Amino acid sequence: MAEPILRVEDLRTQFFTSRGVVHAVDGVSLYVNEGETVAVVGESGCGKTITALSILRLVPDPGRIVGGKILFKGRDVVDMDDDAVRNYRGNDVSMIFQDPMTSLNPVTKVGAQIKEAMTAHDRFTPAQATERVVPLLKRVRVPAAERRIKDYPHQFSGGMRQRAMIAMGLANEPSLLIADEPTTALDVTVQAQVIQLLKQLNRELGTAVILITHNTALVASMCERIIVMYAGRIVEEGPVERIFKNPEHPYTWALLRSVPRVDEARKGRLVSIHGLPPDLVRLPPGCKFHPRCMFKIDRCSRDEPELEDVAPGQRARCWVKMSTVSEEAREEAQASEVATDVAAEIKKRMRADAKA
Amino acid sequence: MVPVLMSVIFITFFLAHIAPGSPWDKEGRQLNDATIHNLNIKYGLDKPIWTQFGLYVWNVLHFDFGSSYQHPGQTVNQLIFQSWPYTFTLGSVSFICILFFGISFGVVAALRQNTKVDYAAVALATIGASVPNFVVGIFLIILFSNFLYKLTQATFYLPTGGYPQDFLHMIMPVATLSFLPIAFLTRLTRSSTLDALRQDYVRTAWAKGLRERLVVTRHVLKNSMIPVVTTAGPLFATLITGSVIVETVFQIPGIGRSFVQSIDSRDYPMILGTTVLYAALVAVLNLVVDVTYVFIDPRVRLT
Amino acid sequence: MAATAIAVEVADWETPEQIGLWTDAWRRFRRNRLAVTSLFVVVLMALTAIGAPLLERIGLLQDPTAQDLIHTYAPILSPHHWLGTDELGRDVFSKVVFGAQVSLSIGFLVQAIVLVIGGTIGLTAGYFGGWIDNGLMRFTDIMYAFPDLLFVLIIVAALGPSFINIFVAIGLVSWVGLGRLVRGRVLSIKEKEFVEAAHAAGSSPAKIILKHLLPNSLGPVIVVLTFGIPAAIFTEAVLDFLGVGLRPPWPSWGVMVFDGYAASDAYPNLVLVPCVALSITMLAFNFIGDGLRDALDPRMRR
Repeated sequence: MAEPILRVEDLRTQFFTSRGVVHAVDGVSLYVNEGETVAVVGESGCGKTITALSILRLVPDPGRIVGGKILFKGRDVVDMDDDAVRNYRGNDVSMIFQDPMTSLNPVTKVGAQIKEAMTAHDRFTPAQATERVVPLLKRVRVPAAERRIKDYPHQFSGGMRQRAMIAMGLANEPSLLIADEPTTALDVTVQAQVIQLLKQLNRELGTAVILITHNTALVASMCERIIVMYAGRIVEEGPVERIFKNPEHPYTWALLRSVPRVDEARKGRLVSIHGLPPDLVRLPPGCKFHPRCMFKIDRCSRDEPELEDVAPGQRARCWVKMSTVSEEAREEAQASEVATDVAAEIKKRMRADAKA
Repeated sequence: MVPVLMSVIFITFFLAHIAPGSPWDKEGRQLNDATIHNLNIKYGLDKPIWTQFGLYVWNVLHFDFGSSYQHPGQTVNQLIFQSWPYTFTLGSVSFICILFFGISFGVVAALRQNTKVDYAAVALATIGASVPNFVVGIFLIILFSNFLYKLTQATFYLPTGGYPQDFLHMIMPVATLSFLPIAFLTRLTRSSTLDALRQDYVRTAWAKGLRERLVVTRHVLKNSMIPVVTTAGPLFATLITGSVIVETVFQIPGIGRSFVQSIDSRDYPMILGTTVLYAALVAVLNLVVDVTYVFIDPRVRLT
Repeated sequence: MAATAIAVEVADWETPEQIGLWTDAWRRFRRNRLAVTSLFVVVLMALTAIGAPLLERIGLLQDPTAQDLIHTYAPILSPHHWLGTDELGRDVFSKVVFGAQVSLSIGFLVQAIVLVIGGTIGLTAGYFGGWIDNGLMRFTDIMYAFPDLLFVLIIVAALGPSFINIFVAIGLVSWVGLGRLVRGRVLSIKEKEFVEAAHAAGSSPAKIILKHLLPNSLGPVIVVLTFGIPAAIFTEAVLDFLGVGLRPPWPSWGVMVFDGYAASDAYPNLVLVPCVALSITMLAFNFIGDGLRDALDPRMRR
């Protein structure tokens, strides 16, 4: 098998705030093969965006990459000097962001912004860049592209703006495109279109895609592999079909059962996950998910499990593993109450903060 | 714009005429009643006040502001023409300095936030915004007249021997006038630039692999200058009031100084003429700012 | 059951947040050393100014108008005159202290007028809306566009340079900022849905708006008024300095500069002392204003 184009090894990114050190990314290792589509899934604050920003060396203050390697085609991005990083950004690896309205410069024409993505690097001359803008917009299915390049972002609709951003991201034909929640700010109908577009572009251009999202339905329609993150670490990963059929980590299991699925019969309640995401400054001991886990055992609060192979191609970080949980236990878990202790949890946090 | 001017004229006219004491009280001489009576007739002050107002407006529309009481024989227009060049030079040079220093300090402070440069800029801006400008003027005068003889006090702009001297003479008044606005503009630019730096589109610019210089000019500054322009309006008003004070401190024979003198001596035509001029100036400048704003922010244009 | 339990829990911490705003603000203000020092300075100044007549009686201060033609132009650190005397032998130190009375009182009195006029206009415009609002706002725009100082000069020239006229004139010109702020607040409350809901339920919208207006706007109003004080002090001093405001022998700082200006190269202390006093006062109020604004800024709360 060919070498992955991106290999992240034990990445650690931390934020140094007045409250303490936030362990946003705590030992993440992943890889992406050429032309592959990988999903990174998890709730807000689990570290997926920071991981992506780290790959592009765009971590904002007061954050810093404190350890690990990011190997893009063999070169370590963490070690690169400023010029090399600049060349790599937007050229080898591109990123598109969640809210296209705020991610585009409101006072510059859209065509100019796309052209800028190319002239920032040396691949195309300015003349060539200008010529490429309209075809790029056409490729992302923006109608009347020739007129549109003279428009400003506020004159585009939400979906079109995101397409323009995708065009911008692909302008230099990067090997990898990272899409950070590209559809979250869009209408539901438009969301499907954008995901379709990404899928097509992946097939047509061979650009690998990392799709960051908390929407598992999108994952199913587009990605080959899925990585599940929690509290700054990977808790499960593997091929999409296998994970969806047999999630081993309780968190993945709960995540998949928290939205209604068209392919399942309408039995059973939806699962909601108790409690709040952990405080990344004061993480609990043992498994980071155990305070909210419905299947935990004693060991979970003491020792943190390693990421182990649980099936061919699938790895999970759990002592219990869902395959060992009986049907009755699962039914019982699904029947339990909605989080009544959210309020109590918040109060507890406020008191702890006030004391600190 | 017109209603503003009309209201200003209206208010000023009536205020000026409510004033106790008539224009003939100064000088220390006691004019006898007959003379006063004749003077009043000559200047039309005996007519009912509404008639006077109507007459005045009519004249203004013909750019006739009447003759000064203080300096009989000279029309207000003449007096204004005489003093205009001094004020204009002072104002425009100061304006350029304000824009240049204010914006550069602000931008640099924002780009190097929380470094010594930033703290220094903020401190200077705070002090500059608090110290009254005549204090600055006096302080400068005392400082320089006691130390550096070349930059001696008071005389601004005697067109004596050519360029270098006149240029030096302008430094202190311009510095005094600009101190406060520079402080204000620095703070404004700094906060607006800091805001722009936090925006998502700046992150996108970095993600595209742009050089820092381009990120700053094309993305940060293009956006951060917009609030600066919109707030430029009141800046002109500050310049005008400031010029009145600075001209007095440095005894520059400009419009501001003659305005103060005319108030002191109840020279109605002069007061009114100068006020109208100022109001018109402010109105025009604000209009220019509004137009500029439409040019630089595409979001407010009518598509 | 669980749902109502949660509803109660959530509502439980909504009100503590409101009360917490002031204690939280005070705590944050306290941490700003510059603001606290400035507050201390201002309070000290105010106490001295208020107690000036008393201090005069004890002998720490002298009558600022008492002339001593033998000891004119005494330098700093003379035996009875710590800061020297002016051209008529009056004690500079006493003049400065009594001058604080003038400046501080004008500063505060002007804000009283600003509050009354600006508040009324803002409330009226915001509450009634429609053409009342339009008319008032155009009027406000006119006042805003024209340079304040010139207006004040004209008004004072018209009414005559007395103490009352001066602070009234300054107040008449300075209310615009507050007026706009109040109007904005009223409008934003008016638009909130609970006003409509309460109106539909039968209570008068005026009462509701008033009830919510105060806690909501008190913070920004205080900040605006605090910043207005040094501006008013400055305007008054400028008036005196130009010769259009208070005249000697009023011991105001501006008058001191006016008097001492002619002799400033020979006897700079006459001019520098009031200038320094003015600067310190204005700086102090500006720092306090900054501190208050940061302390009350809801976005900075954790």
